[in-house]
Order: sequence, then structure tokens, then C-alpha cells
Amino acid sequence: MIEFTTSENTLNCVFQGRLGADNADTLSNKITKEINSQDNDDLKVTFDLQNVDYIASSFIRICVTTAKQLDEGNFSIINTNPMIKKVFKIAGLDEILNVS
Amino acid sequence: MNNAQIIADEMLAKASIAAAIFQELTQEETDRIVENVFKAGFNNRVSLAKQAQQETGIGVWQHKVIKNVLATQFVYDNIKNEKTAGVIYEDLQSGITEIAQPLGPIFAIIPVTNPTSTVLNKILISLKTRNPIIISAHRNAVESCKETAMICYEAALAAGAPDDCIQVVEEHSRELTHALMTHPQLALILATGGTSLVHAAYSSGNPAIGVGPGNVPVFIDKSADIAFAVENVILSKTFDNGTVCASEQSIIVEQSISKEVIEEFEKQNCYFLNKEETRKLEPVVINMAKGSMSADIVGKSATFIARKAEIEVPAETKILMVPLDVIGKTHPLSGEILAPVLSYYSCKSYDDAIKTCIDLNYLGGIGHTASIYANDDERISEFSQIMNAGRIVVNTPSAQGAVGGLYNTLNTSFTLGCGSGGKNITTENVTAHNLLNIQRVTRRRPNQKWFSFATETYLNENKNEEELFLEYNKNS
Repeated sequence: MIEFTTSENTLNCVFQGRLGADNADTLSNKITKEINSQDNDDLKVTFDLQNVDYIASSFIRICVTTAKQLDEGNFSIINTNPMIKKVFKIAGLDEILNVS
Repeated sequence: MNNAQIIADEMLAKASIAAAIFQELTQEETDRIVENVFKAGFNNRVSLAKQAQQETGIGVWQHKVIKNVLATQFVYDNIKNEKTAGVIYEDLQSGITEIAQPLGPIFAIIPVTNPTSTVLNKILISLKTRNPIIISAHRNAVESCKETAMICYEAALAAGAPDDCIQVVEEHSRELTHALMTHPQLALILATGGTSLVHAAYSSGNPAIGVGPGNVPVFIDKSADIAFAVENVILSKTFDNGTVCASEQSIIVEQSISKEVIEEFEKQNCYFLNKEETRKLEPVVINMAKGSMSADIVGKSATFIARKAEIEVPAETKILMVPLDVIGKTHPLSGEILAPVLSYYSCKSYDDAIKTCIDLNYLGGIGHTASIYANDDERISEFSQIMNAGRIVVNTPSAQGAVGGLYNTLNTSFTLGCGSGGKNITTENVTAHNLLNIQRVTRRRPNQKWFSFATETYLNENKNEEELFLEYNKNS
């Protein structure tokens, strides 16, 4: 469901499969724990959605919450497929969350 | 009372009388008027096109002839057999009868880019639906629009149309436009124009059918016939020097075919700008203060624009191609330019290409038109579902394709609805049936289930949906 890799100042979160409501809490807790363990005030976080084909609103909530924990511009979502990119576009969050 | 209000009151008083008389006419009488107006407009297609081009300084007169043909021959073909007066549908079994009634006076806003054709189009669909129309042309196209309206008016009167069924706004002022748009006797605003004018129409308190701005992305898939795609893009983007709002704005390809696509564009006389030339082009094509296209280059040729930007291009250049890798308000060349200038994006993968199309689509053309060249049905389907566009034109020049009639069976129209994305009520190509009040006469056809069911059962809170449905549908 999620794997973490760290390079320099960046925590890269690589997700897998469908990000539905049922696993949202576990996911959210894991991410928060990992961010806290980095103990870095200028931490950058990327969510890599290359292998994700569905997201529920709970995942959007995780994205927004995570972005809020970081300094402005330090959060981004990468490797979306076109349909997921459109989800963020319609939600009006693609710029705030740096979706590409 | 100010002067604008007095003029508006007079025009609407005349239009209301015309509306009252018009609604007395039968389908046959209406159709005779429409046929006569179609013939008059069609027979003047060339002189009106030349006049429009001379007056506005925009576009190519030969292409404006084609626009006038679309607005008369093709629109007439679409609507001539349509029932638009009196009973248009009757079903004895369901007990429903539909009656088409006119809306009342229509206020038509006409853009400078397609002036005479839009006037012809709107007059034909208004008369077909027995609605009087008041024409308000862009200030740079007043004379040609007035001439068009007068030709139609004379033909309409000769065929028995009521006096003042077509009027033209002679004086141009913001106050008068506002007084007309907000007038309580007005039935509908048919707003084909810039965003601010369309917004004003929607804010008037009267019903409005408007249009949205375009920013048409063209995805050329690797399954496409590249030479064919390029030829069609050029045919469309150079049509009337790119003044149709559905004309192409950006070409998007996968890197793997980019070299081939560029070579094909160059072979067909399109010129790719380098970075320095792009820097020179931007302030000429874009009004830098507003961050949108400059009115000075709308409908001008590629060579005219290149000269203005002091860029040397071959004399036969058809389109100026601007390679870009950025999209957004801060890069206005990625937005709508109604002239033969195309941005060009080479993307590293198919997904990146589609995501680029999404960004362009949402930059300023939501709900308008998107274009794809492909011979892979799955990709056509995927692209179509992802784009937010009223029209997705496939293997078709997008300007002519979106207007309808020539390359497909869409209704021919110069008013292209853009749905909620473009702040419009419809994604349709607006035509006669959008200008009717349909009354539904519904005869008594009692619902037998309802009348044989003890409806007080609903009052019992302990019955759930399953039990109630069982009882409701018992023995049915």
C-alpha cells in the first residue's frame, strides 16, 4: 500500500493500488509517523501515484493534511495517471498540491 | 429617464408587438418566411462577406463566404423540417401533447470575428421559432451586420413576417446594452461574445444562452496518420485566419513522434520559432497588461504577425508554431489566440501528453472543444472522457468540425454552448429548438398502482422500504 524512501531532504511516499476509504486511517497514521520520525523542519514530501488507479476522498484529505504540516511548496504529488490528475483538477487542488 | 432607457423601451415595445403578431402565425406561414430569409441571406453571401472583412479588417473574405454559407444553407437544412409552431408532438397513450410556443423578443450579441454569419444564423433560428430579434453588433462590425439584418428583414416582411421582427441597435453604448439586456420585456439574450459580455448577459436577470472561451488542445496520437492530421490542422487554423473560437490552439504529441510531426508541419509551410523569436512574438500577440491575446492580431495572417514581430519567415508561411513546455496564466502563449499561431508541446509519454491536454483544457477553454487525431478507438474514447469539452472532434479540422455540418452531423451553429465549465446552460450547438417554450399538455392518466394502494400505510413508521414496496407492487 505504501513504501517510503528518503533522499536528501525529501521523503518519497510510493503508493500502490486503490486508495479507498477502508485503509485511510492506517495510511494516514503511517505517513504522520514517518514525517515525525524525519525530524526535519524543512522536509519535502512527494506522493508518488504511479501505481495508483483510484483515490477516494479520504486520500485527498490525507494529501491536504500532509501539505498543511509542511512549509509552503514542500508538498507535491507526482506521476498521476490522467484520470487522477483530472480528479485534483476538478477539486481545484492541483495547484495547491503541486500535482503533476 | 435617460436616453438609453428611452431607446430600449421603444425597441422592446416594437419587439413585443412583433412577438404578439408572430405567435399567431402557423408553421407553414413561419416556414415561408424562413425560406425567403434563407434565400436572401444566401444570395448575398459574397457581398456580405467582403463587407465584413473590409469593415473589421479581420480574416479572409473567401472564408467568410463559407461561413455565410454555413449560416444559411447548412443552418436552413438543419431546421427547415423541424416543427416549431403549435403542436409538435402528441402521444395518446401517455396522454402528453407538446406545444411549441415562442419565447418572445431575443437580444442577439454579435462578435467581430464572425459578424455577418452569426447575424444570419441567429435571425434564421429566431424567425423559425417565431421570435423577434434585436441585433447588437460589435462596434467594429456594425455596418456589415446592419446590412445583413436589413436584407433579412426585407425578405421576412415580403413573406409575411410582422413589422419589427428584426431590429438593429444603431447606437453603441454600455448603458444601452445594459438597458436592453435587463429590460423586463426581453425574453432571452443570445450572447455570442467575449467573457465579460457573456457574464453581463447572465447577470442581467433575463434568461441567457451564452458561450465560453476556447483553448482547443489537439492531441495527435501515434496511431494517427500524421500527414493527414497536420493537413487538417492547417486547414482549420488558417480558416478565416483562425477567428473561429473552436480553432486549434495547441498541438500535443508524444516525444516518440515529435520529430516526424515537426517535419510534417514544416513540409506543409508552418514555421517553428526559436526561443529568441518566441520572445519577440509574445508582446505582439499578447496584450501583456491583460495577459490575453492582443486585439490587433486577431484574424491576421501568419506573415503579417511575423512582420509585426520583426521575425523573418518564408513568404508562404501558414502558421507560426511556438514550442512550449509550460502552461498557465503566466505564459499567455499557452492560451487562446484567434490567429494562425499554435503552441506545440512534445511530451515524454502518452500519459504526460494527456495531462498536458487537461492543463490546456482547464487553462481557459473548459467546456468548449477538444480535438484528437487517432486511429485507435480506445485512445479516442479515453481522451473524450477525460476532456471537459462540449465537442470532441475526431480526425477533423476543429473549427469547421465544431461549427457542424461540413465534417459531421452536428447542428450547424456559430453559438457553441460550453456547459457549466464555460458557465453556460448547454453544451449544444445552439439552434432553433433552444429558442422555444415547450408546453406539455398532460391528460388524465391515473396511476393505477397509486389508486389501489392504501396510502395511509406510508404513515406507519415501522414499515421499511422493502415491506412498503412489496405492498405497493402487490398483484401488479
